[in-house]
Amino acid sequence: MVKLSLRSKLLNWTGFRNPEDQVSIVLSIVIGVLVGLTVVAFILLTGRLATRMYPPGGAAWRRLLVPIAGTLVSGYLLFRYFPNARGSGIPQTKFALFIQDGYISLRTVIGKFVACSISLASGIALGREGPSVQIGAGIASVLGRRFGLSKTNVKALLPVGSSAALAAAFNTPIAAVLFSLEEILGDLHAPVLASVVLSSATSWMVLHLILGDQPLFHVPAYKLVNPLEFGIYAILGVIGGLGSVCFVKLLLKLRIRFRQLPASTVWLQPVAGGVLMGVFGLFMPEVLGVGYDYVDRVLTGDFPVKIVALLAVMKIIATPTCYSSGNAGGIFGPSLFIGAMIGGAVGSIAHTLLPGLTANPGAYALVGMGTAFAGIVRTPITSVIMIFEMTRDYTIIVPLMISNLISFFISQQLQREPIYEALALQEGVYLPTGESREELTGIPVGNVMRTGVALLSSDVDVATAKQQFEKEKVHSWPIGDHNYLQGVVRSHDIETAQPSPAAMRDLIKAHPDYPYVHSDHPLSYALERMGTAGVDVVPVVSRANIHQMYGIVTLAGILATYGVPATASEVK
Amino acid sequence: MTGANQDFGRRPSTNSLVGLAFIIAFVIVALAFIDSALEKAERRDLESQAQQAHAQGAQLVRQGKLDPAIELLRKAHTLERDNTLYELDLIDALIKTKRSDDAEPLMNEILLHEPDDGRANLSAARLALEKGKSADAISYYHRAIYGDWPQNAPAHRVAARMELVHLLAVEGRKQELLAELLPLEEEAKTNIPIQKELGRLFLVVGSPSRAAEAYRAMIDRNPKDADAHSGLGDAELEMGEYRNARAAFLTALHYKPRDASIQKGLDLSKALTDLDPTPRRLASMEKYRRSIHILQLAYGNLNACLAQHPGVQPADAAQELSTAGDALAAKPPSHANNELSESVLGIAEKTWQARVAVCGATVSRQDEALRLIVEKLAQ
Repeated sequence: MVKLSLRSKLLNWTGFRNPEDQVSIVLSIVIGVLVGLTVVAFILLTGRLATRMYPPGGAAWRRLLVPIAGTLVSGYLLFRYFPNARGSGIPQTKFALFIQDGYISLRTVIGKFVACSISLASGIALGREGPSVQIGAGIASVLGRRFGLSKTNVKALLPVGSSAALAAAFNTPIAAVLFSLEEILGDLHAPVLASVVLSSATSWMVLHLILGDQPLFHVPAYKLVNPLEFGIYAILGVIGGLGSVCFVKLLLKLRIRFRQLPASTVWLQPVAGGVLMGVFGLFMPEVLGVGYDYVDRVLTGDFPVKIVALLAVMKIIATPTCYSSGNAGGIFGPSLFIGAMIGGAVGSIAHTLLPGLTANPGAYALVGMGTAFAGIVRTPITSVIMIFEMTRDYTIIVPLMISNLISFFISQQLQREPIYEALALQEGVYLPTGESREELTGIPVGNVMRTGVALLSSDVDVATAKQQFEKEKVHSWPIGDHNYLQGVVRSHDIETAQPSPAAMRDLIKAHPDYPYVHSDHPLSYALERMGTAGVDVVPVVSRANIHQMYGIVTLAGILATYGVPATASEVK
Repeated sequence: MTGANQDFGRRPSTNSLVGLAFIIAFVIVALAFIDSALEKAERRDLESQAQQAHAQGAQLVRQGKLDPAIELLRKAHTLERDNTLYELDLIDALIKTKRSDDAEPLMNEILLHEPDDGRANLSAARLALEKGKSADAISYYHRAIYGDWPQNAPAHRVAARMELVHLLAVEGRKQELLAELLPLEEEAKTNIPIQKELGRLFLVVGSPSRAAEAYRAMIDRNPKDADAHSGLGDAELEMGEYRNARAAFLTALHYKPRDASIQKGLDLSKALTDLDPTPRRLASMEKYRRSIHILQLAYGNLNACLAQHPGVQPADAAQELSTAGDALAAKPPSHANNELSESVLGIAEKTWQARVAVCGATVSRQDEALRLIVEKLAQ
């Protein structure tokens, strides 16, 4: 019997026999430290810059001009040097994870840090958490590549960097882990869980060492005064959900408008957000920046109801404008701000009408934060845990859950596509949604895909198409020109079309939607798509461009993979 | 992407790895240094801003401008969360503006972290008092008295106990009040204003001898203290020592010649000296005359009392009024003896008791002499 060394025993016990796994685990800690330090520097630097730009007792003109100047500078930097550092950072991290094999350049990390520091310090209504996530994921990606890890392992490090960043940015290590799994990976049982937890904890410790044990928000201990309050929290969930939908729809619509503007204006577009913030800030300074100071105040229940209601509306307008115009910054912080204001307004009205039966309006502001987060970001579990971690108060958790789920449900019903997926779609990128990620299990389509398949030109006539079907022994085939997929035609469609089409393009015009799969989809999903569309051939397309075909997957090919003969004769 | 793809899976050499490790270590150290420097600068700025806001807020509180003061104090508290002083000042300002609902969560938060903090418990007592929870307030006052005070603890404890004492006095809890006054007498031996207040409160709880003792101690320290002499006069009045009281008021008036309250005390002591039927060497006829005078006063007082409360006419009161009237209507004797005087005083005492039963023990300044003399007779 072979006697194992202590090291071997330890490696066997931990399951980390693969050298890359060992490097990944060590890197998780290093990433935790590096990301923690970087995010703390990012937070502090942004704060210091903001203090310089808005000194205490500063003149009112600053509130008008500083956001304009800040967005002008950061807009130019983003346009000229760091084009990949635009936006919040979450969709970009997901692009990197699902499309770019985990690649985020060091330039993007630096660009995100610099551009966000300038734009956020200038007072635009965006948050620092989303950018922190991209910075964290970027650092993880750079380190992974420098250590020579494979694509798979570098991809696995992205959620590790994300969770470290979020743990430091929000001071919520558990929510950071959940967010990375729930939103970034879309799998709460992902095998990287250990690394994600490790980096989150390390980063959180770094944060504590430097900034001490201060929660992001200081919330007095609230409690449920009367069971009637559950009803009010449910109303808050409805209002929060509707507010979230307004926010998301406005952001997506504005983004489309800005994308329609000439490309030569891209560098100037962020200034639109700066101008709006300047005008808003001139009359209502509280709307400037991410506004955590004011949230802190609202959480103690000290605010006039008219002001908080107005601030909620202003922020719902300001943040989508700043984001859509191409500024660098996230929507996490603004979501919390909007939620706190909506909750504060609802709580204040409830407390005025039913003073003896309701808690301090601050309690509603607190629940409202989670409500808006669940409605906008659509991560209900993360939002509950995040608020719990922020407040460290267990008693508010049940109202929070009720309110969050209602908001989540309303948001899901009225805005089908989650915000990050919808933003990605606008970029022409098809990110896997939460639901579709569940489908990414089993044998991937990529394993069965036939590559080097020629598209059938859209100019061909019916006879040529039929010849192609007979040659390939199939009943459907992808159509397109110059490697640009336009659709899929079925023999049944050709035969039943009245009048008979002159060329395949006529048929495609009649059936513009076509079935497709991505190479990381499982075969079961491909079968499902075949069944739904009534085809036996499905094109495998790029996630970044559904008109770019990598290959096809056929029914016969799938059956053969499972050892099932395609025809009766083969069975014999 | 092609360039990017080349980055993956290229195993670095051992030398490269060592170099990479050094770079990472250097970056970590540099970032830690930058973070620490930024954090220190940030903290310095915040502390300075908070200090400024607190100073301005505290000044506005002193000027009575509470709303703008609260804004500034809140700012100070937000900027420096760990500073309990700022938070407590904010709470106190909120209590003063009757915003106890806003103050309560802040208070709970402090007490959660600092349950033994004297200042926090004192503020909690004020808050409880504002919310009408006097039992809670008393409990918090006790915690404040026996809590931690980082600086000048004895003075703070005495001040906290004084607040408690005033609450007990207002609530009329004489036993508890006396229990607080006794340690206070010891704790604030050299504090003249508190000693004076103590003397007054000893009178409130019905302990004039202790009050007299407190005032005498003050006079020993400062024989020219007019207030102490006046207080001693009040104590002597309560003890029935009218001549001593008169002497004390006269001395007080000597040091504070135009003081109206001392003058009133002197007048009262004079009236009582002239009315008092108990001095040993008083002639029998004079004692009888004084007894009749006391009865007249008591009769008139009860009559006025019944006129003010026409709906309340108990049989006892009518009976006493009638008895007193008969005694007053009787022909005066040619020479009176002690028994006759005592009999008249007995009727006067019962008449007074009937008056107290209908109109309560509270009397006007004019009737103060009658109250004091009857109480002395009852002893």
